[in-house]
Amino acid sequence: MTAIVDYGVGNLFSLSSSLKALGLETIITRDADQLRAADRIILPGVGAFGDARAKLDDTGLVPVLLAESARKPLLGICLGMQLLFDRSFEYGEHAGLGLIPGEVADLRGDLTDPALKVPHMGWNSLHIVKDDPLFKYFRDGEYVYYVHSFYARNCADSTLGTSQYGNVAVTGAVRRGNVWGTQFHPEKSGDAGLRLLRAFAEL
Amino acid sequence: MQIFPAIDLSGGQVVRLYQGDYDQMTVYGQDPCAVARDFLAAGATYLHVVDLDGAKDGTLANFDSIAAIARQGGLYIEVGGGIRTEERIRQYLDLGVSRCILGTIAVKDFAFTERMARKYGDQIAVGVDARDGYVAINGWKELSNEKGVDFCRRLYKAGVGTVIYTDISRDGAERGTNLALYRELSAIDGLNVTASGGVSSLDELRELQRIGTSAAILGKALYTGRLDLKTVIEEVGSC
Repeated sequence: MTAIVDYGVGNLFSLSSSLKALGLETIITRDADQLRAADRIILPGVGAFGDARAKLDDTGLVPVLLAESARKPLLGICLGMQLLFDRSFEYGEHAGLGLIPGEVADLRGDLTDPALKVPHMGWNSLHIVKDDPLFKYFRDGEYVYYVHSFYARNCADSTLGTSQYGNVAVTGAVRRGNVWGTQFHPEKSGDAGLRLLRAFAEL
Repeated sequence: MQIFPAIDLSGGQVVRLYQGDYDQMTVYGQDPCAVARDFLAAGATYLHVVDLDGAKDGTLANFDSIAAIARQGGLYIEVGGGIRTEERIRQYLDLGVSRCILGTIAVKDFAFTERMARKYGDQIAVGVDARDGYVAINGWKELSNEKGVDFCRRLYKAGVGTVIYTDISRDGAERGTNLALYRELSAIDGLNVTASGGVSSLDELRELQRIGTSAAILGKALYTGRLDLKTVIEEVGSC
């Protein structure tokens, strides 16, 4: 059973549809016991970091997620991935969950080519920098779908894959212990994304 | 895509105009800060604020309201309406506003616009309002003889990274936005294009995202309930 954390942030429908298309048993929940009983957990999210963190805090699930991430695979997607880091500088400074060392910063601050647009939107090739069971069905260089203005940095030790955007190697996929994250949306990344989710479901 | 819910201010109230016509004004709220908080609670990262009174006469009639919204924090705020001097730009930036939008002045004094863009970088954007493809000025009452798309190219060369392009004929009308226009604008290398005016469905927003439009401003469609901000951000928002 894969539990998708429902904390009022993110389109859970497309994600749960993708998992169901893979034939995976899925539950959308904000119930601590269901998260404890699940085989693995997905933390989704879009929008603003501060708001998402506040909403996650409101659910009271943060301690549960921290505890369960030591026992079973946890995957953060997009903003859900950003939340895994120590902190974010998205219009202020916000504390993340601290599960992966690193920070989340504005892409615009680091891009040197003014011809590049922000948000970084659309398909980009994911370059695997560290092999991982998450890539069991994924080939180096396959295209994945991004929609983001902020990105994780200073997290080289945890980085599994990057996508080049101008001078910036955008952190695309990360892992530390039982905790994985993707900046891109696997549920919007076609067949390659589905294969990545399948691999996660087999962890 | 970056989603900017809009707050248009007149006399301290939250209003919407129909196609820029001050005689066709609908009041949607008395408390701009409360509206901003609602947007924040729906997951907004960005906020588009227009001082309609300032746009009309260059005064600072809504400065306190904008200051109060900025003080609440939590949002990237861009402000337009009556910004015609560097002093005014500084006043807003000092409040904690993230980006100032130059409007009519960008057409009338291009050299000033270029100077500000070079000096303040992405803290400056230009609002290009156009009707039938041509740039409109002076509260949308007059048309210049330059095509909107050409003006955007010229702005980008002058260091302006973001253009907020409003198709006047669609604004506040909820008749849908001009996708062909935004396709053409979004194809300009490097220029971040914000779509504004008439955006009223999720399908349009998905299409805007697909063609590479950086941001969209949502106004009337949010106030009438035609679009739900939280749903929009969940579907097409960036993080």
